[in-house]
Amino acid sequence: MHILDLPDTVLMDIFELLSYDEVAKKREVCTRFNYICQQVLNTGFNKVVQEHAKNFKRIKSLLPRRESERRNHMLARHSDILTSIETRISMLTMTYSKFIDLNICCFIPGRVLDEINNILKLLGGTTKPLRPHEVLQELRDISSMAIEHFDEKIAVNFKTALKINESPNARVVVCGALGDISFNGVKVSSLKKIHQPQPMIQQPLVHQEPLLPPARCHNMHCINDKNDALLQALQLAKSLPITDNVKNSTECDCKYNYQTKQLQRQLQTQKMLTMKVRLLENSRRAQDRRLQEAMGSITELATQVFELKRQLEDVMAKGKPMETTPNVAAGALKRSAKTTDCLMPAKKPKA
Amino acid sequence: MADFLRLQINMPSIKLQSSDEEIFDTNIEIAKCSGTIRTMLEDCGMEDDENAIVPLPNVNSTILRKVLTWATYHKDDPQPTEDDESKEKRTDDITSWDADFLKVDQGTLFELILAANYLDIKGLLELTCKTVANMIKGKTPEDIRKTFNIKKDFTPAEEEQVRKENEWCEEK
Repeated sequence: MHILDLPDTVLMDIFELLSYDEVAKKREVCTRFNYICQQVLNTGFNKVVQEHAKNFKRIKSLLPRRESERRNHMLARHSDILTSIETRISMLTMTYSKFIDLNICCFIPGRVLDEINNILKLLGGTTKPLRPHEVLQELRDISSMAIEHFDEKIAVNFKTALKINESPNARVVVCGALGDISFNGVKVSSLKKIHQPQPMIQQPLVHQEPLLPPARCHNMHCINDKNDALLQALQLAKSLPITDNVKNSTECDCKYNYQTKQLQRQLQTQKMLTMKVRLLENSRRAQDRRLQEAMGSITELATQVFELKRQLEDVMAKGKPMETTPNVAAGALKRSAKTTDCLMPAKKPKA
Repeated sequence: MADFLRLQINMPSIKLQSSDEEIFDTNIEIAKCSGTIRTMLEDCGMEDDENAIVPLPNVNSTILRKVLTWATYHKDDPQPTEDDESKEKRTDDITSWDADFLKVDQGTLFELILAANYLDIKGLLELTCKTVANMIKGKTPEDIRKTFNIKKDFTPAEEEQVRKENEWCEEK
């Protein structure tokens, strides 16, 4: 009997007993552990979200509804902390959930889950006013570290992986058509002259390379190599008749001319492809930038929505007494009607 | 044989049959710590029948004997409460009797886990899981592979990916 013979549910129970930070580290043991730990981390994240919502609801129910009173209530700091955690959770959701749904990664930073759980436990265990800054410092640091690392180091590769899946032809053809040509034995000295008619294509490439992260410019390198190889082939084809036997020179000339033409044609298509790939790369980067901008504005909007929600709640608190007063002016009536109208959509995101 | 059989003279008993067809005459209250047996008895109306035999095809006699020893010792424990949320992630609250009870080889330990899982004995499952968790806790992946004799079956790319994903919190 071996530990890997145990059913998934039992293994998940076992890992649930460890801190999420440890769970994340135990992924490195073997593929089965990796799978189980990923499941534990994903459910762990969902649990944290639920736990936070429950705590938030509880604290809100304990706070007075009038904002002026609420600010001075002893649980006001609790509410502030929970609001900050909510923002953190939504940032984490934005970073990871898309890839978790696509099943290409799990909720990686287990330590962040531990930290949120710690804070929630602290909030549940005391009613004394806390210092939000102190309590949240660690969570802020590590969640930012995790998100930054994920965006810069991990998600980049997922995105290229996704891209390849979407348009398999574009890349596979580029390499496949020319992959079988190799000219390792050719002298390099003959190349230098031939480089000169090619500045148009070489220079822009050289300029771009430093801008591109290493993973992306691999294709460019590949294409550059192929270009060189073709040029060498051309050179070789031209130089061969001179050194070769003079016997069937006319026949040979024909053959070599034909080959040279073919190689030139290949060079042409190669150039075309280079252009295309470069175009694609450019548009992709532009899209990346736009996506990032959109991401930024989403975050902004999310915070704005949250602010509005709070304001609406205040309005609701003020609107209620108005409705009950019998001698309300027509204007006030309208306003209260408006507020109740607005409340409908405001309640939805909460649920 | 074992203590738990001597305790049970003149108590309503039930016969449990292990996978290798050994019969265990067991106090009904002790057998009922297993959710599976409890449901079986209640649903099939076997409670009054002295000679009913409950077959347990997934548990062999060695393991069943151990399980019953544990159940006898813990028969007066309060029923575990249902709410999971209040439960803390603690693995250091194992009593010395339980620790001694679980001084067995890994194979037996895992079979006990399977039996506890199959018989639905919450206390025993929790205890055995905690024991395994303690064996995992604080160890490097390489240590764990050695402890449990696990083969590293990652492809180099997979291993690199996991390692890279976990790099985020390393201090530089």
